[in-house]
Amino acid sequence: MSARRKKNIITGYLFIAPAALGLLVFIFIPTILTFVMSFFDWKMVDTSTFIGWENYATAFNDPLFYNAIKVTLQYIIYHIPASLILAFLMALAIRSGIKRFSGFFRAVYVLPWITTPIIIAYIWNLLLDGTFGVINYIARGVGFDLQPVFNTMWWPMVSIALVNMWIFCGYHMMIFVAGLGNIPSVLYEAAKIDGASSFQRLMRITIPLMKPTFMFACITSLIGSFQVFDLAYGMYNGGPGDATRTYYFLLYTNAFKYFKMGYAAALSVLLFIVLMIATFIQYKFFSHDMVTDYAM
Amino acid sequence: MKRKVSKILIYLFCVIVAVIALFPIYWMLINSFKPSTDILKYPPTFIPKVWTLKNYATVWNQVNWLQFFFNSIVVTLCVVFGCMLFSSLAAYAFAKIDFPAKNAIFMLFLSSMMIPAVVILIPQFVIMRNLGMLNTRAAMILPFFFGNAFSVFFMRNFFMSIPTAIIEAAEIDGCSPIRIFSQICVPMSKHAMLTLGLLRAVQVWNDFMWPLIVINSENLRTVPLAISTIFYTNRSVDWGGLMTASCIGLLPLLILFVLTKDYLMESIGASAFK
Repeated sequence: MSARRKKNIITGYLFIAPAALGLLVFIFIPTILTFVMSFFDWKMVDTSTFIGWENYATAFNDPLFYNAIKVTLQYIIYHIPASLILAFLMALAIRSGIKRFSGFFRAVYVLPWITTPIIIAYIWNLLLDGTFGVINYIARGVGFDLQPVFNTMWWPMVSIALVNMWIFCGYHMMIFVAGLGNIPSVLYEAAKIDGASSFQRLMRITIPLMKPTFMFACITSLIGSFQVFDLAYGMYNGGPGDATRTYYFLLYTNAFKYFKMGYAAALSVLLFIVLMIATFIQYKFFSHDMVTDYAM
Repeated sequence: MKRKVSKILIYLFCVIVAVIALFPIYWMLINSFKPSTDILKYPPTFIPKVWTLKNYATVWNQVNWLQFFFNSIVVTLCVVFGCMLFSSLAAYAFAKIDFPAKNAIFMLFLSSMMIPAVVILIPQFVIMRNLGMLNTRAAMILPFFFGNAFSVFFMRNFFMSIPTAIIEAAEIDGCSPIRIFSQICVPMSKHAMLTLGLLRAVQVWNDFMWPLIVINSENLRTVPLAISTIFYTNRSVDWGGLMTASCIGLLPLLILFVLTKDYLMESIGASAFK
């Protein structure tokens, strides 16, 4: 082995050492610990006892567990399709619809994405108040009182979904703008020469070629949806009843309010399995772009 | 004619979306200047009838804002500094240095991206507790200080684009690896580092759950945590105070956005396609 190669090996390991150590201590070991803890009954203060699968049995007998899944699924259905469709329309408008002010609109749309979610939750609480909120004032102005809507059981989750849309539409728009930029313009030119209308070009070129981008946005939103917390905490704090007690909220409450660490760990493991399946699907769809290209 | 109509409709759509995007921020701003009683009045006023700075005087003197800003700034700067340093060191090694098991280790790094934050939340808390670090600023910094896989991945892609010939030439001239990294590669990657660093800074600044879990004392709270715990304690909130606190809390981000929006917007596309 040459001296240069030896030096390279030492340098290489030294350079990756801090990051590798950080990953080990703060990601990989905690992941293993989550699995281990899920088999114990541990309330932070007393000693822990091994209880086997009991935490999982508790989860499957816990009505709040099913409620959390229901609430989280509602949330996903409410916001992902609407959010992605709107973001796609925004991307189309910004990229090919308008020329002037396009940079300005882009910046305005992205702005909500950098704001602090917990603060945004409070601002929307004021906007969406049934009695003195400005949104209902505008709605009443056009002859539609939203007060009965605000009082329904499904409204809290819908409103969280809407606020989440407000935060992320610009973000998704930028992803779609980047995706649109990756479509070779020769395709459009060829289609134009063949006499394809702009609607045909959209349906036959843009949408099929944007499929991977749609999938990417879809899966990342899905993974994000299971971890919604700030808005649920800030806007409703889990209530009314358990209407906004999302999965992450349930986990947080068990771990840091009731200190049922073992049970909360089991909830994490169950969520982990679901998210791994989602991620697996994502990597299967993107195996070419995401893994092989960059990893090797 | 038809083209013109569709053009107008598209602009109209853009303007409506822009109004929706800006309105909540506008509403927060003007309500912070209304007397508290005016906020609860119906119909609401779109421009304050009476402008007042009373909310600002009350809110500013109510708590020690400078302390909260200090906490947020220290935590954000430390995390961003550590994350950039260690991630780019590792990224440089993965991109430009040859060592055994490099690809296997890199795959291991990548696989950590698949582990969602929620899964490691509880053990991370337990580790911090066992280190005796709960309720310290270090608890908000340490878990994120050594970088993350995404940053390594992002910087590695950039370092790959630096021609190996430059590095070899420097090596022949007797330049040490750490000097090649710090004096040749880092200056060349200023743009990429700024993009990544800003993205990280916004994420850390906005984080709410981790500080909520690990911090107890009022004087250690970050800005978002302070606003949530002090100004929104129950349902009968003082809206004027809350909106004013929100304004104060969002102001640094809004300034940062105006100054660096191109980098921040670039980071979105990069996160999806790099």
